[in-house]
Amino acid sequence: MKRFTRTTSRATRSSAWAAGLLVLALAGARAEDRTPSQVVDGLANQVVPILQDKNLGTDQKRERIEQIAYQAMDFNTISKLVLARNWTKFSSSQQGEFEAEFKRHLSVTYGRNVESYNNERVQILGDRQEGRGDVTVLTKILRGGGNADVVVDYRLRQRDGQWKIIDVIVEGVSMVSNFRSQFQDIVSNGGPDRLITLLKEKNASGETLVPTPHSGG
Amino acid sequence: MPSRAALLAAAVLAAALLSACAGHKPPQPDYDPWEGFNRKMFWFNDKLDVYGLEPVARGWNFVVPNRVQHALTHFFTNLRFPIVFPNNLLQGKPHAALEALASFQINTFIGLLGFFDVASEFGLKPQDEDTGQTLGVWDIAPGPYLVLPLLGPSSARDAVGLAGDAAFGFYTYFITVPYVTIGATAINVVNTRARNLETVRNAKDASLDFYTFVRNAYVQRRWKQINDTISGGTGLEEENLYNEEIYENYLEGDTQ
Repeated sequence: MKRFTRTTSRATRSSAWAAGLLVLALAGARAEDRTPSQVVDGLANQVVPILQDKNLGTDQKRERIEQIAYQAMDFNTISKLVLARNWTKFSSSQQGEFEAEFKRHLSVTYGRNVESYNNERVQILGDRQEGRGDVTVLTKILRGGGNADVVVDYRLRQRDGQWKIIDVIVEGVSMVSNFRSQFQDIVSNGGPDRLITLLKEKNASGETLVPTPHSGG
Repeated sequence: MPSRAALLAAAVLAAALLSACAGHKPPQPDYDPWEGFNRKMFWFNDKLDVYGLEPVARGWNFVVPNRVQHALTHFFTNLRFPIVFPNNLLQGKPHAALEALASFQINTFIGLLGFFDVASEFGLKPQDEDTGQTLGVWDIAPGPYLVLPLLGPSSARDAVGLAGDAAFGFYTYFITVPYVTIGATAINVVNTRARNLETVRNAKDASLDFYTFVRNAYVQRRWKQINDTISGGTGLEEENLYNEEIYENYLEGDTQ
């Protein structure tokens, strides 16, 4: 009897191990299998149905997209790139505060565009190998062809086996470079606290802003 | 109205002077030695926009149907042909020049004077070339950032390019009646502003310093437009922009 139990427990244990290993292997395979293009494609495939869903309110849409965007982007790296050498002027608590407020800022300002969605679609054009092992995925937002379409590139970097977005380049304008220029001025004139305060003020006013009406597709 | 020859001569002379500071270097979005002047001019332009142009554009947007706005955009894009064509040639792109020519003919004759962009249906995309880009392709550095009254963001080189554009442009060729030129330009400006109401609002919301936002975006975008021609579209590749570890000396010409 005793002996019997022992064997079962051993059997269960080993099968649990096997199952665990299998899960790990699958998870690992999934993370490695998702190429940068697939990450961006997956992002578009998740976001577009939410934008099209007529049963969701603006705030619900915004919240869901925010969650997906937070998953897809590496905000720690983005924060460092955006602050560049100023990063070291920030204490670790200031770094954390900056990261949170900056994330919020992007969410508030870009989240407002949820309302102006007008059946745009995303087309993946290809990808390009970059320095530092990065990959840029080239996409186009289709808005009726010709000059109306918008070219958007996503730069991704691998972190712990997963590709995450570290920059968005709209019509040749890099978000990281643009914020870096703005923040450079603010930090060199007013220090880290000035930048964090400005972001907080901007976020507070942004959240209460009444959305202006459509300006016609 | 100044003669075409005089404008061209001025442009060539200024380009020759600028070429003293030639060199194909990556963009420096923070290089702004004329910042004091530029910020004042930017402030002036912004006030003109907020109290003058933007309200008019909002009214326009309210009254003029979307289809008509699109048609006007196509019309004025088509009118840029006399600028696009020679600049394609000057940049050594005869194939693109021929495409521009075909596009212009299709849109003018089939697309009812350019109000309909029929050429796009045949895969002939509207092209965006100007004299400033040509000077860039010729390895002339942009020089300092420059905010022009009314015209907005530019650079020393691109301001010279504007004189070139004016010389090539449609108005100096055919239409010498000032009222027509002024009227058409006003419609183009208001219509374009109306098409960008949301973009500008977003940009103001998304930026902590709108002046720096615009400067950076302008420098990056011009670099991209010129670089497309030179290297077939590698886009922006600023050294150290994507470096997390090394922050020292990331900006050439930084005066901090």
